[in-house]
Amino acid sequence: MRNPKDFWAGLLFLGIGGAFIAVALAGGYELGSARRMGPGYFPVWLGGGLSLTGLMLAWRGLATSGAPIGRWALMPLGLVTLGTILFGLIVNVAGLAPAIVVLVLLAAFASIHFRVSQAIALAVGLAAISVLVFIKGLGITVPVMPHVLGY
Amino acid sequence: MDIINNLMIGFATALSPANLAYCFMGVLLGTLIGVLPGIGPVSAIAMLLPATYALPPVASLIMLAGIYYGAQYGGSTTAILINLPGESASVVTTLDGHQMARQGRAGVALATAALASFFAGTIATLILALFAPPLATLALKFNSHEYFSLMVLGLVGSIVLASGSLLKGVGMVFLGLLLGCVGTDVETAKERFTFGIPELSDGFGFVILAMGIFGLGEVIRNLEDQRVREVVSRKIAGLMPTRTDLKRMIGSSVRGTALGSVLGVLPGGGAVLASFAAYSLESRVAKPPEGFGNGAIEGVAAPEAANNAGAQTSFIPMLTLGIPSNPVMALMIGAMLIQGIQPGPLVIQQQPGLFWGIIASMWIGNMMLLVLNLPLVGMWARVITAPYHLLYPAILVFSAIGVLTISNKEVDVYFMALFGVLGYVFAKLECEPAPLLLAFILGPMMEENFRRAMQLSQGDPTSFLTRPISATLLVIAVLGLLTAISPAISRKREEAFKEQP
Repeated sequence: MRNPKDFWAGLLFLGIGGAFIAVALAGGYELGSARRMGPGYFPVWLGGGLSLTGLMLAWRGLATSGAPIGRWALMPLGLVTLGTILFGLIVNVAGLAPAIVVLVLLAAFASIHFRVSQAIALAVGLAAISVLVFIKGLGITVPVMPHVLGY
Repeated sequence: MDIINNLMIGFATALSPANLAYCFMGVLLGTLIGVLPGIGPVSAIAMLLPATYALPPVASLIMLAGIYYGAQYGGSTTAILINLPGESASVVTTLDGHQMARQGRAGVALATAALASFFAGTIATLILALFAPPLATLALKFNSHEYFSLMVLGLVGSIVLASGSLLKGVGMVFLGLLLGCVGTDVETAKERFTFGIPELSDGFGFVILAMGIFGLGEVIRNLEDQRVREVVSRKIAGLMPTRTDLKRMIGSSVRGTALGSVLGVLPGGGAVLASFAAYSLESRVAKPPEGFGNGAIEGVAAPEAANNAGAQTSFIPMLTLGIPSNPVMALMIGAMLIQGIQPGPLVIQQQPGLFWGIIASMWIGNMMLLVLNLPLVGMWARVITAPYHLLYPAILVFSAIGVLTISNKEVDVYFMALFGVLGYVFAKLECEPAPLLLAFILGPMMEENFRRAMQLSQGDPTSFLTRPISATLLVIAVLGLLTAISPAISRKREEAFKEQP
């Protein structure tokens, strides 16, 4: 493999295209005819197009040379994703303020420039601003804090 | 004169105190995100969209439009002062703009950028007012066949004119169309690719997709390289260009405006492409004594005029045909749909206040931007120094809340996280995400028109080629694809996108 970016992009397309076709066929989405298309017609053709494009890309990745992909920023990727998911898990259960604090503190670890005190200050500040703007101001209906704390 | 009457309606709408305030908020926010490197107009507009649901349609569109063209002004400030594009459309401005700043002419460079942008904005607003109505009249004759072919042309354009590999662009379009299939099939009410998740029966929200791929993906990407930015903010003195400066600016601004206006209308076009093309045109036409790359004022005026003109004329296909030419316009279409307005040729007739109000607000917005950017440039220069590590947690928080406010479902936040991962993977593999977002927005409309067209023509695919308008559109699409594949052009295309420092 001499052009990893093309090769892996090709495999990604091939995999997703194949998955869409598989789900469509396994789920019994009727294809119908050109005159009267069923729900499966368009997605199966698109899946085929995506898979074919993926194959061509992967082949080009093997045949031509190109730059390496480079280092993956796994820490930022993991922390940002985890923080966002935890935000979703916490927000309607415990409230907006704790969800924001968790998201900001986790995300802060992704940067080498943060000091702990700074991260805490930012988390508390953003939580306060967001509660004021979104709950008091725009009136969205999520709890602020856990009810056990008297809210 | 119809147009005078129409513009009167527009100004009456845009000059109402509330709309003036939203216009100001839009251009202010636009300048801010333009100035801040690492956050672009797509993620900013996606982030703010949920906050505009409660506004009346005109106010929300005026504000969102202001963010887009305001970002074009702000981006140049960062490009000139710290040699970093605040926004991708100002990449080429760094070349000569920052050189001017190092020669102590930062003030003149900033004034040039603002004046050229203002000039371009005024002209492009006029072009929009003149050309949109006839195009909408033409579009009223369109049937399913024509709409399908038009969307094919739009998608091909987004591939050809986007940077990066063509093959990857094609793949991203297919992927976007497939993601658009998720949800309930309109004709048969069959749920497709929902895996029994009730929240997916209406498909993925496009704001969620855009915020994940553009917003979150962008943040993760920016965290890869954590070197501290070197800030060369010195005192900005001498804003006024000299007479020679002005003389040199005029030609470049006119050329930049003309080129930018044309490229903005093209599918896949918009501010970024316009600025690159204007710089390469300028480097062939103009002969600055110091040479390009050494602080030539032409190298600031032309791309800055072009990106502002392009930003504004890209509203033409969006407002008249309902077809977005770039991701920002895709978001604007989403904003209209949420407000209950079906974008398309009927908007001008049915909502004259909205249509002409947006146009008039652009001119007013450009006036505000001139004031915001010239006398207040010192303030923006201080904003630039805001460190990114204090900024991105705020972006994450506002994205998460923004997604949550759409329908108060946590599932949407998880989907955003998923698309964030996907966005980062795309960035690593150099897959340009813009065609994906366009295809995602166009997908459902495309499928509907395709099915209807095939039904009307008894399943005969040649009907797309026997109808003159549809055939013409498809031929242009094929020609566009062929020219992009031809070796000579593809080399030029690579050059055009590689003129980055």
